[in-house]
Amino acid sequence: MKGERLGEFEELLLLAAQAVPDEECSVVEIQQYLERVTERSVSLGAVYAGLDRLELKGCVRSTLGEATRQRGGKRKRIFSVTGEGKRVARDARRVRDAIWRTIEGQ
Amino acid sequence: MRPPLLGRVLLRMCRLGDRRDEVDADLLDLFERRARARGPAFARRRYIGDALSLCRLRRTPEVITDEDRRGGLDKMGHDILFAVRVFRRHAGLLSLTVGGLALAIGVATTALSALNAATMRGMGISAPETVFRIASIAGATDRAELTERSRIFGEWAYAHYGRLAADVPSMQIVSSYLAEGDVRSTRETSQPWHVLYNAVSGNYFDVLGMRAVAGRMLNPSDDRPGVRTIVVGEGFWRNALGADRSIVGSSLIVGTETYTVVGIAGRENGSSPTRHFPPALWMTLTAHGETRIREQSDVPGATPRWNPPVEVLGRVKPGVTRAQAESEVSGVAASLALSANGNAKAVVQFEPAERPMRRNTAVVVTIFVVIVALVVLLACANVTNLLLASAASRRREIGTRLAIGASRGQVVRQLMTESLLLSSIALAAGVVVANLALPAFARLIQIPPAVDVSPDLRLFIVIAVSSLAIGLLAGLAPARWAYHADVTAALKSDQTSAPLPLPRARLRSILIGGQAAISILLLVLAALLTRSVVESAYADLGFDLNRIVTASISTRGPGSSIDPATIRDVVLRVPEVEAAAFATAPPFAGVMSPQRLNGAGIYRNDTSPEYFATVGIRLLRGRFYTADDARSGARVAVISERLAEMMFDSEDPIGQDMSRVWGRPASEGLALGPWRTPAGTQVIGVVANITPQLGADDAPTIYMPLTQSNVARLVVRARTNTAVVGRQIVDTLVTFDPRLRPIVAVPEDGLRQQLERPRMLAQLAVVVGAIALMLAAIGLVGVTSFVVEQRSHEMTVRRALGASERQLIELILRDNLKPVAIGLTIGLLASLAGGRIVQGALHGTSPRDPVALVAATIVLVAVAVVATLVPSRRAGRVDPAQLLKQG
Repeated sequence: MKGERLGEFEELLLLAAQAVPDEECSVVEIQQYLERVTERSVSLGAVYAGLDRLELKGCVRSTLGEATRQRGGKRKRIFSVTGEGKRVARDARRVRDAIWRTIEGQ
Repeated sequence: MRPPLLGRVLLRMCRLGDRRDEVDADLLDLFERRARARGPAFARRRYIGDALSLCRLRRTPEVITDEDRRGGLDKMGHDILFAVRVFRRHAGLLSLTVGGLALAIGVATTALSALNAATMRGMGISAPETVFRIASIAGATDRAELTERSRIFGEWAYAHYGRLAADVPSMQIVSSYLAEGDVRSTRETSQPWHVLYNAVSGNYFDVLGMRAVAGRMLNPSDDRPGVRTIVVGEGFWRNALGADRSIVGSSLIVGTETYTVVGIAGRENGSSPTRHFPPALWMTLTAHGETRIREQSDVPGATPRWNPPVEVLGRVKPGVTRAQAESEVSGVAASLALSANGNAKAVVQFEPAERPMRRNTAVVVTIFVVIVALVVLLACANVTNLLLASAASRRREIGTRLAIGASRGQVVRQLMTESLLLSSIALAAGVVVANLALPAFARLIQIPPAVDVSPDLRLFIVIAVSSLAIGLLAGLAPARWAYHADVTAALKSDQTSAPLPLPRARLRSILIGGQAAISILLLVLAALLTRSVVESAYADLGFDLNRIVTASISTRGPGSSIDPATIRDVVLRVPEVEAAAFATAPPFAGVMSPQRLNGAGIYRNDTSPEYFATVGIRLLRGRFYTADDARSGARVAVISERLAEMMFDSEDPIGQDMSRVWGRPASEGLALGPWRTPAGTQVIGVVANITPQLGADDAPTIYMPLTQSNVARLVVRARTNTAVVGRQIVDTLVTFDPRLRPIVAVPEDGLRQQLERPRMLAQLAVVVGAIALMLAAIGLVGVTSFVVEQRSHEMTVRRALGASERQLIELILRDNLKPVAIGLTIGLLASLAGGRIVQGALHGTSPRDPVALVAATIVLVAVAVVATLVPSRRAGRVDPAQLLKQG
């Protein structure tokens, strides 16, 4: 599965997972971050599904955090981006940058 | 603050597995943040949206596959494609089976549509529980005297309706009158349609709450002198007027008058418990009456009168009880009776306007539905058989699929998809069949043009759902088998040589046997009905119907009563006339109902003395009455042989008092409307039995001297030709007195007309029987070909060991015809046992008629043998060398 191309939303998720501070990188934080940055509503289901796919592709990893009092003792899943994830994100950026350069150079 | 209930319920419905806690907590976290930032309404809305989005999230990442991502539709498409590939292998057989199912669905749709149009639709009355049909008999003293007819029609004189409408404040009263006439379009000079139509009071539609589908219904402003407006029924509009919407506002000619069409009444309007079919159109009673009066005034010297018996319906106003309304109506009825006959007795009866189906209608409907269901069942058995056979011949394939990892669910789904695909194709084809067949069928069973038979949405849904259910049902047996399939056995087995597992072969035999049983039942029915029609057409009526002509003679204008004896003398002057008489009930001149007297259904005929000689009824004992008897008002009666046997056993009836027949004391006589007879009437003669109408074989009849000449018809026996003599009688009578209006009828035509219904029933039964036979044949061909295919290895071995081609064919024939023989026996026994149900529809034939039973059996056996023989011949043609090649 590794090395598959990313969809647009997956790419955004992958970037958001890097942008959110590591120890807070939960589904809720990623969702909130994306809504803030993209200024459009993002459903929780889409975030879950996207992160599932990224995990399957080996781009992110998730671990269950400690139980906290705020969440009624329920544990929170924390995501971190793998080396493969970072590489895929850079690849995506490289492609985009190359195209932009061509556009602006014209 | 809690998240919204809807969201929580949605979330509960999501299949989240071991993630539930985590997702719950995340969602709650988000909810609280959003509530703080954007307010509770926003948070609630988004919570529901998120819960919905989570429902799509089903599995943990480990098991999400590409296939999952492509979605269920794609899998179904795959199943369907595969099914098509499988079916292509047996294209011929498959098209036969699907064709059969399509035919059955077509038959079912056609039959149910006609039935739906004929019986199921009501009158279209809104809030029908407050509407009553008001029946009344002036002068009647108890409810028993309301005859069946008046109870249904509840007829009032039109003039009395006016009083009722004015003097019963607790009800809104409407009235209607059923008339018939010719309708023509003003646009083209086409043939007129002869239709039934309703003349109604102006408030009819408003009070009953019937609605128009286009334009408007009639209202009180139409019910004024000089206004000529009509509303056409949707069925008539579709079938006769070509569903042309521009008809609203244009004109139609009814009878001789031109009317403006103001609207189209929906097809749910107008059927009633007494008439199965809605009228073609509605006009106001005022318009109808004006036309009638104008027609009468065209006749010189006549005083125009118009006061028809109308049907009266009333809606009880809100806040009034039914009892209150009934007492008001009774009061009006009593005062009407008082002014009419000087006695204030009148019985009023309220009947619900929308009555549930009458019992005999319900019986007919049930028989009808059962037959249709049987035909569909036959087709269903074929599909099951085909799928079973195909599943059996695919044991290897199914075994392989299971072995390489297909779940049992997937295999079952595949088989179900196949059967659903089959039934969907059949459904589509069946609807096409029904559309083609419906007009022909409507003509065959003589549904009038006013009825729209096209299936409505409700019926279509019933048919569609049941077709798909059939598909599922048919797929159930093979799917069940696949579910329990033994993978290793299936893989190890050589599908060409392994014997069929027993239960499946048994199910198949049961299906074939069942088909044979149903087919023989329907064939016997068809044969019986056909025989009954033939028998009726050539039955011995007990007299010679040839050369008899009847004429009803009404007179118009003042001083109209002419002595029947004079008329008879005039008619006898016609050289072609051999004999002439008068009778109230000449044979085949209409349908009479027997009166129940003393526990038996008895007919009565008041005749002039010459009647017996004219018709040709033989005297067995005693004497006929004479002209003197009639003149002197002698209390005498002649009875038929059958009646004598019923009432007097072995006693000599001559000289006996008729009180024995009436079942009342000798001092009383009979007070029964037109049957009224004084006490002391004696039997003076016994005559031979005759059959005066279909279904009244050897009718027990009382003949009495004719007293009221106005209701009697002229009965004439011609010397040679009925067609010529009819014309001559009319000419002679009109020349004699221009006020006479003779209407001539030929009883033979009456017989032919009475035969229409049985003939139609027989035709229907033959069509259904033929279809059933065809379906059974398709089933046999299908099963035999699969059996031959499966046993081909065995056949090859047998052939190699020296069996002849003939022996092999015989073997297959014997094995496959055994269930047919069993089914045939069961079917025959069932038809013998259930014969009584159809007895009423048979004339001159017993339900155990050996000719019908034998004929049906021969047809079924012949078809079964041919249907088995054709595919069996392949069994004989196996090549033993094939065995050696296979090793």
